[in-house]
Amino acid sequence: MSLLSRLGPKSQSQGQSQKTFKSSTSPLGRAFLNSDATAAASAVALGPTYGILGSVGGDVDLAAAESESEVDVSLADLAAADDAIDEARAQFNAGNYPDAFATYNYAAQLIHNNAASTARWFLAALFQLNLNLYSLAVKGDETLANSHQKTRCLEEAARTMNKAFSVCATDRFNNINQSRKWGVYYICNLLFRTYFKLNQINLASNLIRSFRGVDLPDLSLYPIAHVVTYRYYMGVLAFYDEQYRKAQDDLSFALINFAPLTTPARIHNRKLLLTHLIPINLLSGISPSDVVYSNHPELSDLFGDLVNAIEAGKLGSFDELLQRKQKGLIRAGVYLTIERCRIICFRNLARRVFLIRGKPTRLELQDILTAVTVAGCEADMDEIECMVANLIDKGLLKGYISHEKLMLVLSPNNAFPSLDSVPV
Amino acid sequence: MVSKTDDKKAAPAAAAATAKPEEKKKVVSTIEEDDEFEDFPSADKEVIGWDAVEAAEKELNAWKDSWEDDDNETDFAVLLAAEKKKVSSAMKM
Repeated sequence: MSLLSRLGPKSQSQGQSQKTFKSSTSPLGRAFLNSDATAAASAVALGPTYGILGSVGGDVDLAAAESESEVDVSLADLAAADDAIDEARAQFNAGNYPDAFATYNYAAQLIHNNAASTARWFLAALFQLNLNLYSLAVKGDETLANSHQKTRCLEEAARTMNKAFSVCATDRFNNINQSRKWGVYYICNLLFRTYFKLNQINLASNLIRSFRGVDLPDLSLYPIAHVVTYRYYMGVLAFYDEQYRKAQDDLSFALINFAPLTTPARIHNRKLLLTHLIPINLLSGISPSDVVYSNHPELSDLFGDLVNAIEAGKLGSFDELLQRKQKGLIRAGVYLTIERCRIICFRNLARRVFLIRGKPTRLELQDILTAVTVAGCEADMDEIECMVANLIDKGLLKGYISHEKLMLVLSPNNAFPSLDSVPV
Repeated sequence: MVSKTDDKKAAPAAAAATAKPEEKKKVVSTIEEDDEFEDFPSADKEVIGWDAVEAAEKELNAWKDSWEDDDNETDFAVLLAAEKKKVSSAMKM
């Protein structure tokens, strides 16, 4: 970290802020003065750059981007950032990740502080800068944790990324086509990822709140990868908040729109998404198809038997499987939601009895008790009454219980409303 | 599922893999890493936009239409029905 002390505080040399090409200027400085997206991106790269340029979206002519605002850049800051990134590269290559992070973080702060003069052309570099920052922070924290030190990198990274978020969200000068606002969702997604990694998803609500009052282009105009990722995180957040309808909307949208994203990450991400969407859809009476299972054998392992048990109303197998898969379900964060499916399983069993009896308007509770016993579940009449009352309470069954006669009186039409019409 | 354009993109993707070996290792080495929604490598983002969505929409038919069948011929349903008969006849006796 010697470099940081050598560099000292933010440079005051604003006098160099002129929009002229200077051969003596550092790579970042030149990139800023020339609005050169490629040069900026390669200046912040840790390794060889690869095609990140497309990610700013739209059909912007990157080279022709001309900002209307005054160029207000400290070339000294940018030169310092260049030096810091050089040093971070060396530290990174030497495997010294915590220091590499600290140095790179310093560079990122300098760059963010000087980003007000930039426009949409700068986003490719900004994305790369912050993604690198994230990766370095994760590596840094791993190193620290392995040597039993307190982790701090990712938290610091989150603060720096928040600044990147403002850099994007508070672009007041560029016209919308050239605006940094096109970077809002990418940076937001990276912050979500950081919060999830830090296990601090409560911070996400602050971030979501900060969207209010920001005049942004419609979400559908953003690059699809940004939107899919954003909707994924919104869906998972809604899932943890038990807003299952919203989660279902967001995750279903993301799932459908994975299709055009032809990357290896897509398969992995789709698996994560389905891990959350399958339990939600089960609550709505929708089960995954064989396509899902053949594409994702892990999901077949985790959910396959449970789904069969729920569909058929095999309450005993459900209970046994829930216990057997408990660890995996908890790790995936879906145990509680699957547990909720027990009532769906029972509903399907009761409906089966109803069908076998020829859709009568009265069912003896004894019938249901027998069915539950056949399904391999031990229960007495009190429990059955309670479970049926639960079905009625949740709107999964239309009817009432005659306690004296131990009889279930069913609504003559639509006694078992379809599950997707019942709020979960 | 894999379109022709993939070949062109394989190159930057491979470059990404070499550029960031630490990220790749991370993904396979620990279980926790597996829980992370990965950044979509951006090379393909400019090539494929929203227009392609509709065409590809049906690619993954992820869900069964409905389980609300009235089919009483499944193994379990048959077993249940048999049990009902037993119970009914026992009650008559």
